[in-house]
Parts: sequence; structure tokens; C-alpha cells
Amino acid sequence: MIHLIIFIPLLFALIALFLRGQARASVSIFAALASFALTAVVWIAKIDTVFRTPWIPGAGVFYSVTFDGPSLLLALVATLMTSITLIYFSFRKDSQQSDGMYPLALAMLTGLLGIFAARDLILFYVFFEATLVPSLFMLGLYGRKNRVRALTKMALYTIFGGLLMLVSIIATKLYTNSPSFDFLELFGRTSQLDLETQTWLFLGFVAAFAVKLPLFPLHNWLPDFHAENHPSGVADVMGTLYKVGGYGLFRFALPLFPAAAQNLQWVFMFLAAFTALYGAWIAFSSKDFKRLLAYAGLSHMGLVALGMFSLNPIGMAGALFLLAFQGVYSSALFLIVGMLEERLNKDSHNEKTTSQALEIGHVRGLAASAPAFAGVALVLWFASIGVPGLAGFIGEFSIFLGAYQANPWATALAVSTVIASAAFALTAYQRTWLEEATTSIPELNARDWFVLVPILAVTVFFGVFSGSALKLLEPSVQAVAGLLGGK
Amino acid sequence: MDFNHNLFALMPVLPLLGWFVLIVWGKNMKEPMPGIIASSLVFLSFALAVIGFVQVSPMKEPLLNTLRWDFLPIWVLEKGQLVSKPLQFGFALDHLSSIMTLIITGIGFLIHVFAIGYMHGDTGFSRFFAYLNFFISMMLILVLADSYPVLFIGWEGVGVASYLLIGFWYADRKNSDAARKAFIVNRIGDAFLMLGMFLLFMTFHTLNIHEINSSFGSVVIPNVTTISTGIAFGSPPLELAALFLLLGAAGKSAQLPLSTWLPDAMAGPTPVSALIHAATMVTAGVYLVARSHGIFANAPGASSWVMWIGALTAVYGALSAIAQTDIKKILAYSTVSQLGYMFIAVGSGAYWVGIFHVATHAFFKALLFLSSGSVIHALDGEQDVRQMGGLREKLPTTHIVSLIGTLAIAGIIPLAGFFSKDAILSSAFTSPFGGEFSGYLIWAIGLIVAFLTAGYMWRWYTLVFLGTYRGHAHPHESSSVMTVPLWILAVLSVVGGFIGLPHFLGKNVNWLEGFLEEAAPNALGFREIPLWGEAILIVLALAAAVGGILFSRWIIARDGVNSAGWIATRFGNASRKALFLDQTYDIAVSAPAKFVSEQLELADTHGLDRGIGAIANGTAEAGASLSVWQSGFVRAYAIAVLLGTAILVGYLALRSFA
Amino acid sequence: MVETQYYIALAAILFSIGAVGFLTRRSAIQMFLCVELMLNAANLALVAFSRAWGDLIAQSAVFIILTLAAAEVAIGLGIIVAIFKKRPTTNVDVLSSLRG
Repeated sequence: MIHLIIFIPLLFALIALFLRGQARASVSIFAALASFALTAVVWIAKIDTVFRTPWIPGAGVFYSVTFDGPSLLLALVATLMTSITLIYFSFRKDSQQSDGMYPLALAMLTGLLGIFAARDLILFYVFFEATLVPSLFMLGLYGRKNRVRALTKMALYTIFGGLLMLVSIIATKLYTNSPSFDFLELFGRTSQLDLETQTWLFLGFVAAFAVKLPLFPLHNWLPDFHAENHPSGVADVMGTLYKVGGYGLFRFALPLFPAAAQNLQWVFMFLAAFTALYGAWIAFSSKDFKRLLAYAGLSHMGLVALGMFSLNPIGMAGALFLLAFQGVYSSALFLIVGMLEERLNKDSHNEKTTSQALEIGHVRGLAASAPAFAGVALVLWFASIGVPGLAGFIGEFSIFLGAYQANPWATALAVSTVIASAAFALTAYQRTWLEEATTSIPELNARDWFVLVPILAVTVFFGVFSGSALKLLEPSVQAVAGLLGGK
Repeated sequence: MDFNHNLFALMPVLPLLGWFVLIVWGKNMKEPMPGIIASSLVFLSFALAVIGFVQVSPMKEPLLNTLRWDFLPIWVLEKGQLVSKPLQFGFALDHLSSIMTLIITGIGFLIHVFAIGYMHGDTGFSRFFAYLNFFISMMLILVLADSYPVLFIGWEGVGVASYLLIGFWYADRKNSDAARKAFIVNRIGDAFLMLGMFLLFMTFHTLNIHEINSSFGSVVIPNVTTISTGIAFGSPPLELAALFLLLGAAGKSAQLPLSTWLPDAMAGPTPVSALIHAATMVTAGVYLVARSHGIFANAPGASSWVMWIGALTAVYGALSAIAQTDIKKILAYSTVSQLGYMFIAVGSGAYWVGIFHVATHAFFKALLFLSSGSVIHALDGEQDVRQMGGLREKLPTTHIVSLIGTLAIAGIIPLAGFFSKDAILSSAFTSPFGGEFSGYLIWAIGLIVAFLTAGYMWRWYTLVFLGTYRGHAHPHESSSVMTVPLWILAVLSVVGGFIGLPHFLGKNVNWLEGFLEEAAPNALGFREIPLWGEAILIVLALAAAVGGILFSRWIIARDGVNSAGWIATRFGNASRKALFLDQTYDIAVSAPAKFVSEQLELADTHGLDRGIGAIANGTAEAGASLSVWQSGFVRAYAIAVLLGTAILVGYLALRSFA
Repeated sequence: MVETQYYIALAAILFSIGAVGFLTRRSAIQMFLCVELMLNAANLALVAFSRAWGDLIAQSAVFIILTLAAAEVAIGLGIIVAIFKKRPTTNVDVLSSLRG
């Protein structure tokens, strides 16, 4: 079952490569939906067995996978959002010219599911880095004018961080004399290492995750990545789902090296809080919607890191919750930008008109001609800035609550983000949707509703009835927090 | 499922349903229909509030609903063991929240009805009622919440509703700007409220309001587990948490230093100003302090801060109201000032007094706002009081109710404002917090504010209704759908004060204080004053009110209606610009924040980028200088490989010999 | 049984022939064949040592090298043919457009 879920997208990506036109779209959408359905089955049937078989026995590498609570939640979001995004994309006018997106998105989905399921460190590393390949291809094949520069930056940052993690992974096995790279076997041995060794190994892991999160000052690739990607937003959604640094911290780095984490806690908490504020503050001056969303995402990830480094169960649960659901509403904002671009941009191959379509405030007063569109966009913006009653709040509030117990000063710095994020979000929203109308755009069509209604439903439902998602996170968080002393 | 326990929880659900229906189907409805749906749902909520009131009146502990679910992940350490105790999404109805629900749904219903007439012909008719319903629902969640995070849902929810309604006519940039400002300034307060919650959790290991209140031992609630925290009276974490809550409350209730958004919020339609920015939402801060009475009653330092912030805001609002020329702006600054009064009350430790003034203020301020709405409606949108006058004959109903409202807010016996204002002044006079001298000083400030209030309200009344008409429109009295709510509010403004009669009239004449004895008991240690002393205070308060009206009459008689000479003075100018607070913020906060943001953006996208680019170029150049070895002659490479191998093998061979 | 040193000597001879051929020839195809000669000399040495030590790991390595070499030949010859199609010569001294 679990292997099916992970590899169905990749398998169908290969099939889709040999198809053309509508068939390719249909097959791809089917694959994404199938893996979403199967993930839902795992959720409902509560299957959480660990599957473990030797992969490279000589090196002690196992193919060891399972979907426990946090993995399952993230997998559900990833499969759902990929399905929705591909459906959205298949109805775009320019989808025929860039239909390589389908197999690439599916390949990324396999990578993401692998990341969430892997319990062997090498297997995790393989999925973690392999997912980069389709991501780079999306950018390189369908990106905008300066895509090569953005691509080089992203690749360099990510691969460099990843290699440091690989070194740490190998060193961890060597120093602990573990028979394999399986997390369960490494775990428990690492606590016997002395603090200095632990710290260096921990920093190796953190290097990869801090790039992927990203954390200041390793975030420089992110704005370019989003700004230069295809304006449809498909690649941005996949990129948003690919922000798995926080998950990696929770799953591997923190439980393996609790002493090092406690030792460096305050440094990273301040760094995370600063990242959150920094992102939100810059977003206020962003002139391009994609850049704005990139910085907003940076701010969110600062909060995720804050929750993780709080080493407090409330903060970590909040961080996982935020990580999962920002994959829904932040992704949805990219889709909204895509829909907007589709309406405003006459020629998506023309660099100039595309830039104008993505510029904040280039057209104003769109709410007059498309009130429902404006309303949906507003709800998603509110979710993104953590207005209670929507899914963003649960994560954000829990992170702050947990982090405050660990470090009030860093948290106070981070809490000021709620002011900054309200400022940038409402300003950008007002410049586009409100004020005097300069042009009119078509209202949401059937496809848009089909795409946005599930997203809205998830955002609202889990903002109020958050219990079902929290129940998934509870056991793992409690276990990890127990290791960390659970302050 | 226990029907009796969950009935009151339907209160916020009904308007939310109305919001959903109107947002989804409202566009296709004919005009009065959305208004009728919205009003009747609020009326149903009002009926539920009445039922809840009857249910909860004889009870000593809060009524908790049984339909709950997990909302936030919470772990607490018990005997060194992490125990998961998720925070539940739940409501509680007690005497305090019952009073609030009556005010919200009652006044809310009247304003809904009024708006059916006021919003007649507006293209956003159904959208307006959807937002109003959304607001009522959020406000009810705010007052019914049994934990701080759930309260926070309502707290930010009303902020969202306020944002939507201030910017209701969003095509005008001014309105959108005002809405955005309101939301952002509110968020400053919200950030502090959050910090307050976190500190409370750190101290009490719970966020349940009733558990926290009962942990002080001043209230015993059988249903709620009492936790002994060892938090002493006036201990630093308690004081700090109370200060955080105070700043949160200041944001929502437009207290200094976060008061600047409220006057701008008048950009919204007038029923909104009446409902949200006078009667209900802005009193949420007062409710928060009263709700957290356990914390504030045990934090004397923070409580005296509450009083002082209230007093300063009361003066600030009153001074700013004096020279305004917009019919709604006068009322807006008046609201700021009156909210300051309420803060004095709850800061002094007499929580029932704060709620008392919330109620009476809701009556007469809603009345005044709706009256100005009626005037604006009659004058086709004119809002400048200099273009009014002489409307006494043309709008007889509006005139009468406005006069009642004016006298009520001025504090003329026996109207509602008289009793609540008097209660506030005497509670400040006898407050246990901040020392005697501070209490007397605040009382004196309150007296001056009472004088000013009567003055500017009389100016408002005179300029609008007396004299001769100075404008160019053709005034006409509003329809009965608008005047009936006015009459009801007028009656309430007259009799509303009788729920809290002063002590010297008899032992048990004060119904409200007795009613709130469990839900929001007074702080301990009020100074006793003799009955004749209380009577003197009352006479002084009345004298201030009458004096204010007479002084105002004299100034207007001397300077004429436009008071041109007076407004041109330095003082008049300062008052009109609201003591330059807005400008100060622009220079000291907004502009620097924006500047830093722009610089950071530049630095991040160009500076940092260039720095990293330089590293990349350096690497590339170093590579290029080595590339001369890449001669392009394959056999040269082959020789290099051979030589290299030979050297390596030779070295190894030599080493093994040695 | 032939002793190991004879195999090694043969491998050394083969390798030297390959190396000298590689350095002196200019035709890409001839150079390629010389490279193969060196490779197989190394393989021979591996097998010989493998037998001498009675360890099969080196032999299995040789099998992998052989299969890889087959693939490499296919690709290498393909490249040379492709070059020959575009350019009139396979003289490696003329083909130097990738110099730094």
C-alpha cells in the first residue's frame, strides 16, 4: 500500500511521458488523485506499520518506510494540493505548450512522499535530493527570462546544504558504530556521543534544513525561485510543498541530537524569529506578487523553525500544523496569482506583459468586477496572516505559545510578525482588489470554483475543528518532546 | 446531547448562518429580503439571549456547553510527565456574558432594522447585512468564550468584520485606507493580547478563563477544578500579564496610545459606526478586563495603569471632540473619551460599573449615531455640521431623540448616563488601587471630562438642530423602519440607568452590582465613604454636566455657530487635529517602518544578491585561470596522466623500499 | 599451473603497448583501441591476483568492468562516428575546440 502511494506518481509520470495532449493531462491527474485517495485510506484505516527491507546491505542502507501521524498529514496535503494544482493547470490555455509540467510535478510528488515516509537516513537523503531534480527542470524548462540564474542559485544552495547533511549522516553512522542507517538503530546510540561531536553532526543536518526551510541568511534563492518560475503557479505550489526543512528537523535532527539542540536552542530561536520578522517586513515593499508570496513564505518558515527549536510539544505541534496547512493556503495564493495572471496577461511568453500582470497595484479595484474572486482571495490572505477561525491560526498560535515557554524574548520578537504581516498582506490586497477600478476582469469560472472550494473548505474546517489533525500529530510530538525534556 | 446546556451556544451560530446564506445567495435577493433575513436571525439570537438570561440568573456558576471539541494542542507537565490536554473549543454563559449577549443582540437587532432603511438602494445591500451578521456572530463568540484562545477568535473576528465594514465602500481609497489602518492598529493590540495569554499559560498552565479566575480563591466555581498556583497578589508575572492584556484591550477599545484608528473608522456606513464603533466591539476591551477580573483584582499596579490610561484617554477624546466639524467625528472622539471612562471604572476594581457604562453608553451612543445617520440620510450624505442647523422643525423625531441622547451622555439626571457616570466617578474616588491621591486626581479628571462632554455634545446638538438651516439639501424625515429603533433606544437611554442606582438611595436598589457579584466581583479594599459624601460627589458631577452645557451655550452665543474665531486659535487647531497624535505616528512609526522595509528589500534583492554573486564570480575566475591546462590536445593529457601515475607509483615504490 | 608473475608480465606488456600506442597515434579510433587494451591489461591483472589470493571479489569487479566497457565502447564509438560525420578528420590534434 505505502509503496503504491509513493511510487504511483512516478510510474504514471513515466507513462505520461509517452502520451500527448489531453491524455497526458488525464493520466497525470488520475495518478495524483489515486495517490491522494490511497493516502486517505491509510489515514482512515490507521495503517502505520513500518516496512523495512535491505536496499544496499553492504552499506547498511535499508528501504525503510512508514506513514505515521506527521508524515501522513503532510502526505495528505501534498497529494491533495498536487491533484488540485494539476486540475487547475490542465484548464489553462498555456498548458499545452508546457505540458512537461505534468510528469515533473508527479515526479516531485513521489519525491515528497518518499521524504515523508523514509525512516532510513540515506533513503531520506536520496528522496530529499532527488526531488530537487524535477524542481530544477520545471524552473529551467518553463521559467521566465532570468531562470538560469535562479536555477543556479537554488541548485548551489540546496546541493551544498544537502552534501553537508550527507557527511553528517555518514559520520553519524561511523561514530555510533551503528549497523545501518535506519533511524531506529541510530537513535539511542547518538546520545552516547560527546556534546561536541553531537553539535557538529547536528549542524550538518541543520545546514541542509536551514537552506530548505529557508532561514536567514540562507534564503536568498527563494525569492528568485518563485519570481522566475512559470507564472501559472504550478511550480510554486510544488516548491511550497517542498519546504520540508521543518519536517526534517522534527524527524531526524532534533531526536538524534537532543543535547546539541538544547545547547544551541536560543541561537536558532532568535534566528528563526528574526527570519519571520525579516520576511514579513520585506514583503511590505515587494512590488511583485510572487516575490511577496516568497517573502511571506519565508516569514512562515521562520515561525515553523521557531516552533521546532522551542523543543516544546506545543510549539512543535504548532510548527507541524503550520507546515502542513501553509501547503494549502500559501499554495492556494500562488494559484490565485496564477488565475489573476491568466486574466490580465495577454501573452504569457512576453516578459513585459507577464511582469505587469504580476505587479502589485498595476491594476486596481478588481473587486468591483469580480467580487467573489476578491472574497476568496481575502479569506486566503487572512488564513495566511493567521486570523483565528482559519487554519493558519492554530499553527501560528501554538508555535508562539510553545516558544514563549522556552524563550519569551525571541517569541516577543516573532509575535511582532503578526503586525508586519497584517500590514503587508492588507496593503497588497488593497492595491490590487480595492480602490477605484482601473479595469475589469472575468469572475471566477467553474474550474476556479472547483479548485478553490476544496481549499477553502480545508482552510476553514481545520481552522475550527482542528482536533482531527492534531490527533495525528499528538503521539509523535509527545515522543519527540519527551526526548527533549519537554519544557 | 443536553439541550438546555447547548441552547445558548446557538447564539453565534445563527448569525453565522445568516452570513453564509447572504454571501452565497444574497446577490439574487430583492432588496428588503437580505435585511429581513439578517434582522430576524439576530432577533432569534436575542431571544436565545433572553432565554439564557433567564436560565443563568438563578445560577451561581457559569453554564458550560457540552458540545466541545479539541481546538489547540496543549501539553502540561504533571509529576515530570508530559500530559496532553488539548484546549477545547467551548462556550460558557455566566451573568457577565449574559448581560453582554443581551446588549449585543438587542442593540444589534435594532441597528439591523435601522440599516434596512439606511442602506436602501445601495448596490452592496446584501453584502452589508452579511457582514453585519458576521460581526454579531464574532462578537457573541468573544463574550461567550470560556478560554482566551476562543475569545481571541471573536476578538480578531470582530476586527475582520470591522475591516470589511469600514472599507465597505472600498472604491474610495480613503475608506480602504481607514479600514486597513484599523486592522493594523488592532493587530498591535492583538500581539500584546497574545503575549498576555502566553504569560498566563506560563504562570497558570491553563488558558481557561474561569480556571484562572477561580485560582485566586476570590471566586469558587464548583464545576471548575481549582488549581493552586501560589501566585501572590501583585506578583511580577501577574502584573506583566495584566499589562499585556491592558495593551490588547487598548487596541480594541481605542485607548491611548492605540486610539487613532477609531475616528478614521467613521468612513464606514453609519449603522456600522453605531453598532461596532460605539456600542459593542470597542467595548470588548472593557469586557476583557472585567472578564479577567481575577487577574486585575490581584494586580494593583496594572490596575492603576488601566485607570490612568482610561483617564488620559477620556481627556484626550474630549479635547479632540471639541472642535471637530464632522457630525460623526465628534461622536467618534466622544466614544474614545467614554471608553476612557469605562477603563477608569474597570481599572478601579469596580467591574460592574464598567459593564454598567458599557450598557448605558451602548444605548445613548447607538442612539446618537443612528440619529446622525438619520440626519446624514436626510441631507443626502452631508456630514459637515457647519452645513446643518435648524433641523429641529424638519426632522422632529430625530431632533427629540437626539436631545435625549445628548442629555443622557452629558449626564443629566435621571437619564442613563447620569447614573453610570456617577458610579464611575465614585468608584475612582474610592478605588483601592494606585493610592488615595491618584484616586482623587482621576476623579477630578473625570469631573473635567464630564464638563467637556456636556460642552461638546451641546455644541453638536446646537449646530445640527438649532438655529437656521445653512445647507442646500432638502431635508426629509426618515421612514418608520428607521425611526422606530430610534424611539426604542431613546427609551432605553432614559430608563437604562435604573439598573444601577447609587447606594444612598437604599441598601438593595443596585440590581446590576448584585447580579454581577459572582461573575465579576469587585476588587477588595474599596475605601468607605459616608452616604452624604456620595451625595456630594453626585451633586458635583451633575454640576459639571450642567456647567458644560451652559458654558457651551455661552461660547456659541458669543462666537456664532461656526465658532470661526475660536477654531482658529492654537487650541482649536490642536483639537481639530486630535492633538496631532496621527501626525506623530506617521513621523515616528509609519514612515521609518516603511523606509526600513524599502531598504531591506533593496538590500535583500540587490545587496545580498550582489555579495553572493561576487563570491560566485571569484570562484569562476579562479577556475578560468586554471583552465589553461585544458590545452585541447588529447595526447598532452595522456602524457600528463602517465607522468602523474609514474610519479605516484614511483613515490609509493620508494616509500616501500625505505 | 602457470604462476602469477607470468600473467602480470603479460598484463604489463599489454599495458605498455596500449600506452605507447595511445601516445603515438593520432587517429581517434586507434587511440580508443589502445585505451581498451590498457583496460583489459588491468582486468587481466585483477583476475590473476584474484586467483592468487583465492578471493572472488576482484573477479566480480572484472565482470562489472567488462559490462561497463561494452557500454563505453558503444558510446565512445558512437561519439567518434558522430565527429567523423561533422568533421572531415578524426585526427585528435585538430579536434581541440574544448580547450580552456
